[in-house]
Amino acid sequence: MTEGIEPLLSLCLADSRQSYSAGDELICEYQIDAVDPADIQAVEASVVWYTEGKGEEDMGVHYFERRLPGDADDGDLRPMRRLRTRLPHSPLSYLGAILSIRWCVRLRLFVRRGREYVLEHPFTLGAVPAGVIQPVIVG
Amino acid sequence: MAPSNPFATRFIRPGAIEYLAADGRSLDEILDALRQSEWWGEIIGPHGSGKSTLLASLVSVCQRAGKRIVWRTIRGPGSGPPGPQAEQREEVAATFAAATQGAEQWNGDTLLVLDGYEQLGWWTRRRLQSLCRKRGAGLLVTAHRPLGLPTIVWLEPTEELAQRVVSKLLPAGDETIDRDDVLRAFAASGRNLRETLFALYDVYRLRQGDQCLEDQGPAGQERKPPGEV
Repeated sequence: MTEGIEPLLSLCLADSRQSYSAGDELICEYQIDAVDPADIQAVEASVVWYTEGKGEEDMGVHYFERRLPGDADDGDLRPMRRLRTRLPHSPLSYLGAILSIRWCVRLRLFVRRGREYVLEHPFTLGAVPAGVIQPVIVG
Repeated sequence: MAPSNPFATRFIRPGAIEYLAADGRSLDEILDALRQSEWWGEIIGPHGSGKSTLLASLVSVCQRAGKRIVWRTIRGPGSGPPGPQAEQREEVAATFAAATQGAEQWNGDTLLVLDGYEQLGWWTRRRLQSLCRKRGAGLLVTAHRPLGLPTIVWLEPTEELAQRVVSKLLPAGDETIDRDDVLRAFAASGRNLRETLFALYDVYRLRQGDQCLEDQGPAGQERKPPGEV
């Protein structure tokens, strides 16, 4: 690895979109830099949802690809790559009091000596209320 | 979309949050203590003091030291009334079987890690210790009180530690939670760090909610810049 420099991971959603509707196609480009290609063991790109809140976590993987040096021209996994996937109808993004559902494109880089780097790019699926729901006293 | 709540489970669960020591001991120093006790030891502390968080961090260090980790989390007994004696015996047998699954492959490189050791009965703990000695395996456990193994760490959360943990979790420049919030939550939780963080989750959410509503202005109206009438 290039001494003293952290690998640079970049992710870009097509048209800089931040929100999608169910059934939309998500297109994303990703690239890796500032790392010696010989140090890269694998690159994983995924489109996932996960819950976030006070309780136990849940997650689902909608799209996943794992690439090894043998999958790339010259064994170099750094050049820009595009992924595209049609988004599902559920679960939609949700902002609740004790639970939220979030979507993101996640890029994971595995390099030698067991080190791992992760970059996430969030987006929303479906219409999400802009404000956080306020507590309501019932009764 | 609203920013993530830094006190959500995904940020504070063991393994996600970095272990911070109240007594200033580093993980390497704790590892040394464990090594000196021939890989037998217990991490003691009350509920929500960071035992599992320390365990998660310590396990990585042990792996780097060449140990093969066998991790078991001991579930507490059911919340209902105790069942018939036969059922209790079955539960103990099932717990022991789960904890010792694959024991025939344990050896001197193995470190059996048991989170929630005090949940096991005296007899089950004796059998586990005996099995570990027989196989030459190490044994690292968490418990709320000393249970006869060498005490590696005794965790006692402090206000200062709670402040440091919160500072680590909050994004740079985020002042949604202040020092007094942490002290109040820490005192109200009975010095339980986990409950403190859960309480701050609610405080953070409510304040972020207020901020969202402020940003939007009254329903149906566009928010005007400050100073504009």
